[in-house]
Amino acid sequence: MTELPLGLAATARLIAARQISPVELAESALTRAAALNPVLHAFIRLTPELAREQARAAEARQMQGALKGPLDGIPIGHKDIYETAGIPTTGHSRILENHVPDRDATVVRAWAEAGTVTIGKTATHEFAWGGPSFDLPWPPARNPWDPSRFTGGSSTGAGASVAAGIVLGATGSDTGGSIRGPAGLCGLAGIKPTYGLCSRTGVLPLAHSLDTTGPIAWTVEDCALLLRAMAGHDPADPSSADRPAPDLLGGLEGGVKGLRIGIIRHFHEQDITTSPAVRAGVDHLADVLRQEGAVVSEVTLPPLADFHAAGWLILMSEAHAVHEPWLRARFNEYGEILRERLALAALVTAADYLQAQRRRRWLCQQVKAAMADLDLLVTAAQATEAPPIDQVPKFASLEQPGLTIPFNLTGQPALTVCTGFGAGGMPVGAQIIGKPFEDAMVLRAGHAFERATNWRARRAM
Amino acid sequence: MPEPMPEKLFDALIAHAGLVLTPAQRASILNASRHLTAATERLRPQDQVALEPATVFRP
Repeated sequence: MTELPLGLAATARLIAARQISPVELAESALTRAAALNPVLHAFIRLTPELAREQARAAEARQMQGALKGPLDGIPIGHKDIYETAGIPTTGHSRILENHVPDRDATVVRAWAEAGTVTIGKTATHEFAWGGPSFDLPWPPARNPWDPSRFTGGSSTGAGASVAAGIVLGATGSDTGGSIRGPAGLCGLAGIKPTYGLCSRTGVLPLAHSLDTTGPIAWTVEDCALLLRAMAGHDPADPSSADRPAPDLLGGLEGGVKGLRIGIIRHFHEQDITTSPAVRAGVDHLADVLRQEGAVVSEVTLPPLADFHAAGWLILMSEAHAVHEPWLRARFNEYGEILRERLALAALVTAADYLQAQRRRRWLCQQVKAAMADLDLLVTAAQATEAPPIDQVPKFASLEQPGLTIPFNLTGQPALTVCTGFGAGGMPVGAQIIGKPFEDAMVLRAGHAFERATNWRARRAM
Repeated sequence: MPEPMPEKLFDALIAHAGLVLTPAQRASILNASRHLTAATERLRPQDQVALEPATVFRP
């Protein structure tokens, strides 16, 4: 089995120096996918013809000294809610099993124009919400650190394919934590950008006022490179912010000296039960940032349960609105988990939804006030290490408040970084959260942490 | 944790949504409705009567 080099940025430097061939890189990724996918189920569809065509084009540019940039020739995967022209886009669901779009999602097109090589479509929870499910046309993805374990969701295949070193980056989507969860449980970096920074055109929706597209990769620097290629105004997406995309790489090496960082300690130490490794990981992140020159203090936000209540009522209402016609007509074609979650969502009334949106505005005001004298926040990314994949409850996300959905509610950028390893050698992660459209500062802090620690040297397989 | 939603209300809302559940599905979803009850109770009452939702339209 051919192993890919460590990380996207490192590989890009080798491509630029003509020390590695994009065609060989694509073949390596396809070989590795063929070997590992029967165990990990990271991809529900490989796209070898497209990959070889894109790799040959990248190699021609390499030979001509005309590379488009650091993503040229880089093997990637797209979550199977991102529409791909001529290639089925199923949402990992029987409902869209035969759906072949005639267009690429804006982000798919943007990455292709930057030269990426599409290895395949990655597994997801059904329509980015229902999983892990064993009654769908494709099995759920498994965690490369231990294939008996859950990857986190919903960007399950993105997490598995990057952690396994099959691809060097992947698209994810994040409505309540679907990028940051898999990044945490699979030991990766993943950023939910500011709401409105990246286009959602051509991405199957879950909940319109919360949905965000973003990348998952091995390092924060890799995420910055991928995010730069997908950020920017898209007139076709009503949620897209009509403002220039921020410079996401210019200050990446700038460090955190003088930055003011607030730990939301009550989120992960009082409001919910978290594992010792998760709590130690947040402390480790804060200690390293402090050693790098940041000023770290504690900050108090409203209880996590308030964010949880508002967030899930909004998510469920909006998801029900998206799925209502199919739910009425094709109820039993959904997998059991999504079918029952959507039926539960049908119980949320219009008044419930608007009360949640009113509370959301208040929560946004509270977080903004709490950050008046802070640049960044930190807290855990998930409560525990990855559980066994067959022991995830049907209504898992409702049983205990999650640590990620607060920042879908507020629209802030939030990055997961790997902060170490806990029980069973499974990775744990923590979040770094910024103010809206200050995604670059979030990436800068995450990169500073990775640069000062050695966690990126340990691989799953 | 609160009780599940009252059964009559549950059945009415499921019927309103146009769904027909098996007894097993009904039991599972009715039991999970306690999570909704907890969430909706947490959001009422709003302290500020004039608080606008986060969806206010801006032309």
